[in-house]
Amino acid sequence: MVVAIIKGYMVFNIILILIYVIRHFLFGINRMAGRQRLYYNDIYSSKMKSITVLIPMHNEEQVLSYVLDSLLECDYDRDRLEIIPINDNSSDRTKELLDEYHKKYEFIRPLHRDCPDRGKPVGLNDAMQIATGEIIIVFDADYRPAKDMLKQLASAFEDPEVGAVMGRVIPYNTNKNILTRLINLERSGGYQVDQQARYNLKTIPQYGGTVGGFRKDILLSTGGFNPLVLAEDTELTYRLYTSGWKVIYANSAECYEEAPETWTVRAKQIRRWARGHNQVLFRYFFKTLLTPHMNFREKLDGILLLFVYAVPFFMLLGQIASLVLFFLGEMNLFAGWWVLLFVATYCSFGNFAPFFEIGTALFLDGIMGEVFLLPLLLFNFYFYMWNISLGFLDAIADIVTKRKVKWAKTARFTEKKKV
Amino acid sequence: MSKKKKIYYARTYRRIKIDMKMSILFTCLLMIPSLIVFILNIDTITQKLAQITTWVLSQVFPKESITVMNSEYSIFGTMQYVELPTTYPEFSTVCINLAICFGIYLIMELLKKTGKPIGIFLLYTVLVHVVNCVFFVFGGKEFPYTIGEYSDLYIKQQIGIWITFIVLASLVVGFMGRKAYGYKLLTFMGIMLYSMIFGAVRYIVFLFLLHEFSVLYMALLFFVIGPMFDFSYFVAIYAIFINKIIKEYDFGKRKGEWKWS
Repeated sequence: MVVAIIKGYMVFNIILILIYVIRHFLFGINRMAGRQRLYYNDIYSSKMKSITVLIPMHNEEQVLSYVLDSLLECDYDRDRLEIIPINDNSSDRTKELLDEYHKKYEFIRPLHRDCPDRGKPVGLNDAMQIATGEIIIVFDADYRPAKDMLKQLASAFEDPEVGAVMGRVIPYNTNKNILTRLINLERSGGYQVDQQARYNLKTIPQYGGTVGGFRKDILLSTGGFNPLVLAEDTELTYRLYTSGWKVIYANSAECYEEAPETWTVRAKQIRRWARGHNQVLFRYFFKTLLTPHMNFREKLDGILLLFVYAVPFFMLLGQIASLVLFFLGEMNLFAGWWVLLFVATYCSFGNFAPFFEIGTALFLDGIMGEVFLLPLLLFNFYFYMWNISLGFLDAIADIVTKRKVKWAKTARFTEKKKV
Repeated sequence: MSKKKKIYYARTYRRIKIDMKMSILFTCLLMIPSLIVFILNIDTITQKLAQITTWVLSQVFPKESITVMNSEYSIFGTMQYVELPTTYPEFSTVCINLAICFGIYLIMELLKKTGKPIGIFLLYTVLVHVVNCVFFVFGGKEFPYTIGEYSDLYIKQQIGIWITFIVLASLVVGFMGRKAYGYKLLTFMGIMLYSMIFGAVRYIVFLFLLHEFSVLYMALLFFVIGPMFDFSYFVAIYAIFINKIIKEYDFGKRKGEWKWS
């Protein structure tokens, strides 16, 4: 009986992962050779949307000047622009530095939070209460937006169906070490191919919580961000889709980020993402299935996207199941076919994008040489499987214990800007 | 103000136009005949592999009885594998292995390497080996495989790898880039050839290790140095192909083939 259950689980695992392989394969073909759905680059309005840029910060003295100086360079009507850096309980010089900016630029209006409930969702909620813009644009503190970024992101909201927009994230510290190089490959596959293909195919482009924006009134009318959910970005994506709004992906809106430079920091980040994403899975699985606002294609992709951070946990169980079968002497049936499990795992979850998706992305980006790093994803596979599985278990513990989640900031590596 | 020496094609929405019918046809022509030839010749291929293995191992173990066995493998018909006398580990060997595993774990903890990808991979390796060792501490006689049975499993696994590679390699090269059929064929052949050679060498080495040092290392060899390593060189060969394609499209004769929707 137990053996039959384990074998059944293995079959389920193989089928599940093959579905993801096919999904990503189709994305790759679509992005490489399909007709591309362009972003709203050509829309120019005589009256720009009034926007508020929110930048959550916790001890960001190292990097805050980069993002603020980049935003000051941005081409956007100053009377339609407001910047609110959210100083969330910082203990370094973040407050002083932000106040200096405020003295120089009136439209930079820092929000200093000094209260026990720290975190990105609550910080954004507080800032939205005082924001004057109808559109909220969010950047993390380590980002460096390009000159046309705000114009590009804001233009999508001329379309009344659009609830949120997401730009493309590119690491700037790619040459730092092997980790940052591998993250660069992931990002390339994840945005150049995955997000753009989902946008082309009118499925679910995902709002990523930074380098993106949304309509303030939607958020405020639905109670703001939920502080119990770590992945407020994924939650917003599903909240919008299940309420009839669309999320738009702007591949041309490229923004540079600092990729984590140590494996410890990366592990924490991945675990946090997995925890948050799976919290959304538990909250939105049935809502996504039952909503009348999404068509079949959106629902199908929406469900697959919801499970993205659960599948590595299923694979970990699959590995354990194969070990058990081996020692029970029951591997005979699977000796040839469990290979499929490995193919699929390596294809799909050796990383966030399978190797052929990353290959396609590097081809489109025209990045030579870096592609030779692809085989190293083998080791990343175990790293991700382990940390994402921990995040999945965290999310289950959150549901069971109803504990309050604690926000943890990703450590920064950039040297402080010399003035 | 410095001037750009070269202005690259905008990458945002660029794509290539591929002849979908030709790509599908090429993929099918690569995949289907290869699959048919392979499946129809599994008996011959495994027979040759078994013969080579027998010859090599008989040079290393001249006094041992090394035989070629037949086995039925679902729809694929007959396959052949090599049978060797099984060597079981001494209790002291098991204990030494357990101590080494514990030592590796301690060293990684001390060096704070357990959270890194290579550390997690090593921990997985150690864990698999520890389970195998513990099995021999408590129920060595119940160990479910002889070297012959493992050999049978290995060949079945290798057949699975080869079939999967034929399908996957055809798909990932078949649709990449317009035409470039020569490169695609070369990549496909490279992957399959490497897989055949590597699979054979690994088979010989595994049987040698199991016979020389006992079946204590069986799970380690099966799970850790198994299919995952095959996919590494698969991806490495694919990476060479992609790099060539990138060069062709960005700097070579195909740079005029980019389309912008």
